[in-house]
Amino acid sequence: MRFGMGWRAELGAAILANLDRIDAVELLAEEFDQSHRRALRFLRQHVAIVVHGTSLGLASTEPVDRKRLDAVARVVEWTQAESWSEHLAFVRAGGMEIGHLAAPPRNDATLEGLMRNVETARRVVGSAPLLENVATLIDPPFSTYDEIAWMEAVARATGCDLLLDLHNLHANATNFGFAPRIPHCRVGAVHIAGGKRIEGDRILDDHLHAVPDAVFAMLGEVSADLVILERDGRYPPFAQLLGELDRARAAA
Amino acid sequence: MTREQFLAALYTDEAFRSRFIDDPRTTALAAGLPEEDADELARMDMESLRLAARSFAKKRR
Repeated sequence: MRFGMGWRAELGAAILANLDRIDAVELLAEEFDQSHRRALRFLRQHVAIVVHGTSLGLASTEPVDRKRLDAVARVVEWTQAESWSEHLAFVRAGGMEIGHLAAPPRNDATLEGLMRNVETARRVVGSAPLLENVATLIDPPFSTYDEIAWMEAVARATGCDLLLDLHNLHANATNFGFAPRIPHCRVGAVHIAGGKRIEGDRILDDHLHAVPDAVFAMLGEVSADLVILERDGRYPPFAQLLGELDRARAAA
Repeated sequence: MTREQFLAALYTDEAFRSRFIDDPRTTALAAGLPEEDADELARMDMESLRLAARSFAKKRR
């Protein structure tokens, strides 16, 4: 198992200075364009790269936006990424931009839309995405699958490996009162992150806090090639993030 | 409206969300959703809806 970190501009220098302890970096596809090609070429010469999309909204009955998909495909090509991923989310509908990852109705209609969108994505990008479970504060209406059965159905229907986000699983299990378990399907990669408690004793997956014990405990039950630590702000001293990666290595 | 469009409106349009919280069934039927969908939406946890909408609004800023 390899251990990497989400690339953020604020962490870039520290990541490059510690590549002996970081096996891979995950780039957010939407943050890069033609102007970054030289920097991406430099980066790929020094560390393995995976690409992570946040804007495609593949888990939808609406077709994926071709321009956004082309943009992701270009970043995958420029970085020669070893894999790419997107979320099991919808982010817009009928022209309304939600602004973030919304858990879709977990039902067969969404599954059929997802299969169509994954096929389009596979054709345009040249490889299938890993598909990531999302955190949610609202149990999505019109659902016929529970969270775990949904991930397993997605993997069966699309043939894609999961990008299993253990903090999202932990947050949803807490927010909706179910016992988390690792889904019975192939897991290509794992995300670990931290969040915070909000009203109603819910967990908000904000990526601004340390990885909790519950996530490290689940990490020991997963088999995957790559574990990525996500941190999106309120950055602690970099040694603390390296310490979380070390703890992940020990837990896996 | 489709189901996804209805949810997107709930998450992004404060006035629409207020009308829905006041009278979920009527709002859903007025948007063209069938009776069974309106019944399901009427059972939604409105506090979760408020929290989710607030989180989405922060992300859009």
